[in-house]
Amino acid sequence: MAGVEKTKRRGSIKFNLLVIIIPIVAFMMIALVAISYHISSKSLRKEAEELLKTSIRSQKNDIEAWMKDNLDSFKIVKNTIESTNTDEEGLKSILDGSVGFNSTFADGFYIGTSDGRLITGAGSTKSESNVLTSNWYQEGSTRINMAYGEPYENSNGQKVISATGMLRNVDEGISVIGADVTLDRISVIVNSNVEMENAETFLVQSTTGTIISNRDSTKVGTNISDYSSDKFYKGVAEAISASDLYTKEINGNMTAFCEVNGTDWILVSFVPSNIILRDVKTLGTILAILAIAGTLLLIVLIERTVHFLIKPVNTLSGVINTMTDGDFTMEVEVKGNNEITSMSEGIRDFAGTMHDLISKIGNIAVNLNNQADESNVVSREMYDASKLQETSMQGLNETVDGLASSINEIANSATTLAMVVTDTRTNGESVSEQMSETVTVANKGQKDMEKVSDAMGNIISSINELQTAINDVGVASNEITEIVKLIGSIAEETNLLSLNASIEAARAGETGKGFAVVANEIGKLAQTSTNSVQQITELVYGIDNLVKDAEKKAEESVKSIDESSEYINNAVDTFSLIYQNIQQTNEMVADMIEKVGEVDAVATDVAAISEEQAASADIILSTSEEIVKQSAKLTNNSEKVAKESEMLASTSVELDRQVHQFKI
Amino acid sequence: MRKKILSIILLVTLSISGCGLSSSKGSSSTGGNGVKILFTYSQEEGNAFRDTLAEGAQEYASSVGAVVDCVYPENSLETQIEQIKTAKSQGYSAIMCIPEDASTARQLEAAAGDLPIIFCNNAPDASTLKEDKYIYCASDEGVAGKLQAEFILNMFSSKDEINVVLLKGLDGHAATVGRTKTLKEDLKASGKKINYVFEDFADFDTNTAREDVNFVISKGKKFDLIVCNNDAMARGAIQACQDNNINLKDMPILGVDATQDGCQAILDGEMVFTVYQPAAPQGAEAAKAAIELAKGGTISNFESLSSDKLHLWVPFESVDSSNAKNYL
Repeated sequence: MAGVEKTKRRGSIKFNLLVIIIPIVAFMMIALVAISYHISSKSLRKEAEELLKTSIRSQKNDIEAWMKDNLDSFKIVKNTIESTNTDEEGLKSILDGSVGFNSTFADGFYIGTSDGRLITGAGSTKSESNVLTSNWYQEGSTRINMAYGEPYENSNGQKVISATGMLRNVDEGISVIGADVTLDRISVIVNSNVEMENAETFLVQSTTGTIISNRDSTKVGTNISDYSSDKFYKGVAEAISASDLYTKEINGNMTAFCEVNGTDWILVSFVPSNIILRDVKTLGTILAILAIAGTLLLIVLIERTVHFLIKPVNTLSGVINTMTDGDFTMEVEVKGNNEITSMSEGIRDFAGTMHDLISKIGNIAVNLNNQADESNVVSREMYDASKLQETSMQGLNETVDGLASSINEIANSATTLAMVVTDTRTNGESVSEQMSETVTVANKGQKDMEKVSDAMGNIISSINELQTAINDVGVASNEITEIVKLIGSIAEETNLLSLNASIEAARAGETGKGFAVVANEIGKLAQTSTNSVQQITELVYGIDNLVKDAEKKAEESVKSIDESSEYINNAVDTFSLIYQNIQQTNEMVADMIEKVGEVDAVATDVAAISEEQAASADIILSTSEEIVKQSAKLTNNSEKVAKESEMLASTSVELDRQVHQFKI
Repeated sequence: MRKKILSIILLVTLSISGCGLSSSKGSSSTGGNGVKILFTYSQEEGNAFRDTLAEGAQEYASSVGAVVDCVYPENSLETQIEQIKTAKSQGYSAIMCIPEDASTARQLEAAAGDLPIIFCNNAPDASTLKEDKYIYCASDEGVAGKLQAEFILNMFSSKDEINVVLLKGLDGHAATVGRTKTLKEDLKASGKKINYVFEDFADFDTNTAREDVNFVISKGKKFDLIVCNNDAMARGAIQACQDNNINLKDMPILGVDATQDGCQAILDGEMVFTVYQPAAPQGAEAAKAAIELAKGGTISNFESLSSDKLHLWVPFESVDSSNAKNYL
């Protein structure tokens, strides 16, 4: 369907051909018709002109022959008259015989003599009032051979021309013999011999312009210049006076001229141009109809021919469209023996080739798809593997890194250890010395402690004496407290007495003043005594407290000294234990120093080895780092491979899909 | 195609160079090598015009290496046609012809087949002629009449009225018609009163002319001059005047043809004017045209060719007492 639409949208070769050919054909037909019309009309005009010329020539010949015949007849009569040389009687009989002999010159011959006489035959209507001045006589007297003269109107009112000439046989004077021909007669001859249809002819005397004959009898004998208002006659008159006697167009008439030999007459023949043009127009119409009919016929013929010729192309086009849609199952018909045939053959072969090719491509696509799937799986696996490897390598790397740092630490530690061990050995030795000193000191300390223990016994007895003294002090202080209390009560009474004295002094007024002062002083002494008692009480209380305290403390001291004594005893024991221990320790230190020496050697070895290991670990590290990089790359690549193989897979699927679009 | 174009170019070049050759050689030689021309005409007793014409033709032909052979039908149209018919088989490639009857030109042309014909002396109707094929070579008769009229008007310039005796040739003859027509026209055009005291056909004949003039004189007609269509009639007029003791010095007589007799008459004071119809140049021109057409060429470059391309007009020349002896 799509193909058909496409074809429609694009138009067809047939349409293109027709669009090109038909205008050309139409144009050529029009051109052909126009040219043939032009040529035909030209030749028609020419033919008409020739016909007119022929016609006028034939008329001229007719007129010439007619006139010549008449003249010849006249000459015979004249010669007869001249040769017979008869007298007037004889002459008269001849003239009598000529009257009515020929209808052309019905009046017969007549003779004018120089003495003015007119001799006519019996029955002749010819009369002349004055022979000598008559036109015919004067004309005749200029020639011997009879010839036609100017037309004139005779006494009967007829327009005639006379053929006249001098008689030779007359001795005296001039006798002119003549015969009259009526112009009507000439007109009949002129007009009855027009060969061309619709053509008209008239005769003009060129020297005078007199119209000798015309179809319109009223014009006969008149002068052509009388019709100057008529454009045609005016044109004719001008042409004649200019001796321009070629065939020409005058006022819409094709006009031909012809001189009549032996006269100064000019035969004018004309035919209205529109009559000629009518034929031309008819021709044009016929040609136009023929052109249209021919064009239509040609269009139909061309359309059919093109259709017939193009048909295989259309079929082929359909086949190609089918192929364009991917269908190679169609049959290509091969007919005829031309370019289209070879095209059909080509298409058929092409379809076959395509059929095979697409089948193969289909198979290939399937295979490719499988292979792509496989390679996709493989690349996936490879990706996973390399990913794993990368991770492992990463772990390894870290491990190696840790190992390296550990080894370094070991190395450092070992080095430090070696140094420490060395120091320790040195220290150990000095410890050993100091231990010996310590042992000595400890021994001495034990002895000193025993002395302390003894001193402590002394102290205890002293303390016990002290405690007894203190108890004595306490009894004394209680006796002081009792005395103080007595002094305090006396001071109190004194104070009350001073107060009363002061009140009594105040009542005595001026006399009491000196007493008041003693009373006041006694009050003051009482107050001071009270205060001192208070202070002594407080002091005694303090001493009492202190004694009590000292007592307590003495007891505590006894207790603590007892305890100390105990402790010292314990310390003595402890010292002896320490001594023993130190003794043991000294031995152990010696032992240790010995062992440390061994450790030092081992540590030194360990440092060296671990340094070497550290170096190796560095190398391993860099290598494993490289491996990590490579495996990362490998991962990327395998990822890419995976992607590409996926693309390949999709491409091959696409290919397969595309291939399946073809029908084979 | 290319060959065609090349050959056309070659042809054009050749023809151009050919033209150049012929034009450079001019009228003296057209290169008529081997061209044979048949000239058929009837000799006239007492009139050497045609023989002179034939001699002129032969002279020209031999000058360019061509040949003109003359045959004489002796006034027989049938003989003439027969002669023309056999011309081609006898190796002639062009025909010159003074037709026995000019109206039979079509028949003569048919007899000639595809050979070109140059007519002389007796003019066929123009309608029977054809460009570069059937040509009439002569002098324009009208010019003779014009020259006569010119001489007359010059001679009688002081007079307003002229009485003329006109002797015409054969009725209907081309020379008669042509010469008379222009003579009359030109005289009329002068505005003078022209009286044709006597006008008649004397048939180119001396005796007829003599009789006619004698008759006119006997009838007491007065006239100022006698003009004739040819010298032969002029001779008759002279004789008539002499018969009547008319002093020829007082009676101008004009002729045409400049015959020996005519020229002698002028020298003798018997005639005043004639027109030389150059017979030999006519023959030469006719022969030149015949050779050209025999070779399939064209005469369109001939100076003497008329505008209708059908006529070769060899100019007339005026002959009077001043130059008559040149034409003897």
